[in-house]
Formats: sequence, C-alpha cells, structure tokens
Amino acid sequence: MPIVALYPGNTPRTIVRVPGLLYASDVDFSQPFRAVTPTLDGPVLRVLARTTHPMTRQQVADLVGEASEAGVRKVLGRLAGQGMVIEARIGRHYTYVGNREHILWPAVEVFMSASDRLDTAIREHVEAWEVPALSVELFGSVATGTSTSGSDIDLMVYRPSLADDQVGLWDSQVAELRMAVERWTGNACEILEIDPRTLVEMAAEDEPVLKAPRVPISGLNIAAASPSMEIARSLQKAMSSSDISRSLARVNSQHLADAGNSPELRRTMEELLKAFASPAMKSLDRR
Amino acid sequence: MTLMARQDKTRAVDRTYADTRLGDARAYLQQADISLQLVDGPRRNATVVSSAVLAGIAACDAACALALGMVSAGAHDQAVRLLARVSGSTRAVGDLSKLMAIKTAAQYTGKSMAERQVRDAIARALRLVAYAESQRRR
Repeated sequence: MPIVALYPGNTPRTIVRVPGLLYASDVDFSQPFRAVTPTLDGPVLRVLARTTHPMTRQQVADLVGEASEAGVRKVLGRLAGQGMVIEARIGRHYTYVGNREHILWPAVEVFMSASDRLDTAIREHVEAWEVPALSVELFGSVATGTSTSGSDIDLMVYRPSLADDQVGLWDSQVAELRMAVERWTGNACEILEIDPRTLVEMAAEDEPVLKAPRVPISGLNIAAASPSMEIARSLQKAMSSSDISRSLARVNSQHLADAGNSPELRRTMEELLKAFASPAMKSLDRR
Repeated sequence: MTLMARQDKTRAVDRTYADTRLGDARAYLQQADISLQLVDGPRRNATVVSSAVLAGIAACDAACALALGMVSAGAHDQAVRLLARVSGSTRAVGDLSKLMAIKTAAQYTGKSMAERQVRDAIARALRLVAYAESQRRR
C-alpha cells in the first residue's frame, strides 16, 4: 500500500512499497535482527546477547517467547555448529552462551544497539540545528520496547518561542528530521511538536502523552519542564486575560519565581513570557 | 563475572512483571523526589535514601526479568550476583551494591544520613533505572 508523505516546505514525497521489488522492510526496534533475517536465529541471538551466563534451551525458549523449544533447539544447534554459541553439557542438560570471541559477534552487538544508534543519530541531527529545540524525546512503542515492524518512530519536539524570521527555518529543520529518521530506519516518523503554550494546555488537560514513558534524546527534560495541573490552569487563565503579559508575570511571581528546584520549568515560563511579550506572538497565534 | 552461588534462589517471571517493577522503580524515584522537597526534620535524608534504595532494587528486578526471565528470591547479595549475569551490567552492579550497603542504615538503624549520601543514592538509583530502561529497548 503506497504511503504518501507530505512535508511542509518540501517537495511531496511518495514512498511506494512493492513486495519483492522494492527495498528493505521497516526496522522492528524490539527485534532489530528482523531487518535482515526473519528467522528464529535473530531472537535467539538477542536473548544470548543480553546475558553472559549460560542458559538452558528452555530458558532461551521462554525468553524468546514466540517459539517452540524444538525450534529453539534447532537454531541453537546450528549456531553452535557455526561457533557463534558455546554449547556445554551439565548433567542431563545442555547450556548455551554467546561466544563473544567469535569474529562475527560484533555484528550481533551492532543489532543489539540499534536503539542506541537511532538515539545518537537523532541527537547529532537536532544538536546541529540552527534554531535549537528546547528538547527532543522519543515516545510511543519504540521508547517502551514494544514496537513491531510497522511501528512509527514517535518524537516529541519541544520548540522555543520563535521570532518571525525563524519560523520557516524551524519548519524545514523538523521536516528534514522526519525524512532523515525515515531514511535511517525505513519506519514512518511522527513528530509531535509542542511549544510552551501547548505544553501548558496539555498539562492543564492532564494529557496522557505527558505521562507516557519517554526516552530523552536531547535538551531539557519535558516532564520537569511541565507545570503541575494547578499551575497550568492558572497560566491558561492568564493567557486568556486582556493583559496577557502582566497576568503571566503575576502567576510567575505567585507560583514559579522560586522554582529553583526546576530550572526546566523556569525555562518554560521564560519562553512563555517571551512569546507573549514579543511581536512573534502574532505568528505563534497563526500556528 | 560474578559467579552465582549454587544455593542462590531465583524465581521465573515474565515481561509483565518486568514492566511492573520498572513502574515501581519510577514511582520510588518520584517518592524520593517528593520526600526531598516536602519532608522536614532530621529523618528527611534517611527517607530519601530509603526510597532511592527501593528504586534501585526494583530497577534491578526489572533488568533481570527482561534479560534473564528471572529475579532473585533470596538475600540482597544474591540479587547483586544475579544482576551480574546481565550483559553490560558492571556499573549497575556497582550501583546496586552501594545502595544495598546503605539500606540497613537508612531503613532500620535510625542513623542520620549526610547530604552527600543522599545525592549519591539518588544518582545511583537514577543510573539503575536508566539501565533497566535500556534493557527494555534491547
């Protein structure tokens, strides 16, 4: 099924997947070996790479979770034959341990570090942005290790208050990030972009996405930058008043000026005050 | 590699258990943070350290459950030995050992804890939780 992706400020791009004719499948970050092999070898190697201790066939099968013991036995036998796995007999049981001295073992480690490599690639990309993000965090199934091959890569990008002349550049940075993640992984990338005002609104509504597990990639911690629901509601009220800047400043002095324990929250407040005190507020209103 | 003693007791667990313990670890960290900010008096530091220790233990259980499909059912030194079976756990083992070493003092003896011990315990608990979370994504 064709997936049409439209990126603001960029040429529309069409990705067509034709089984057998076109390129690789998506990466399943909870089973990265599947990007190159759909067999049971990948899950078995994954289990053995996570421990340096010998495991019985049954223990490996239990951790693989989706295979019969007979299937696991066959794979372990083959991997032992190739020297990737060391087989030992203890009494009536056979135990298996990954052979970390095998010249191909580093390849196993590369697959195991697929998530870390994605984090690093995203971090290096966003830290080179001309208009820096306040924060970039990964959320959703890839962040929780429950993804499948069809899962999106979900990113939460917290952007600062922008001046009018920064808006175009910001949009193209975000679009380029989305395309880069798709090139790196083959997975669709969804970006949830928030600014200080959206963050306050989300906190006031107690949005579940703010409580969902996230993996920090770059910048400040969004959870620490989020106001409590009570403060968020005061801020929301201030943002709907006739003199927004003064009302925000009042909330700031009442609740947040001494937020010394949370520099992240103080940063949100500074950005909020900046947004409503500058001419860029008009452009923010349009967004 | 730390060797498991023959009498070390373990219990088989599944991924749901790992998620539950990871949730516990995060909640204990939150509890440490709340105690740090809201609890007054001479027992504040011991309370914070105690929560950090619990966060570390829960994170250790989560990491072991994810990588080994089992958790320790014995004394705390056994939990440390089990964690040593997980790949790349050298630093996590050190952190857990240090937290275990301070557990009794924080929870049962009534000894006071220094600010330095509080900072140290929180840093170690945070690293252990991050380690368990990284296991979840491997």
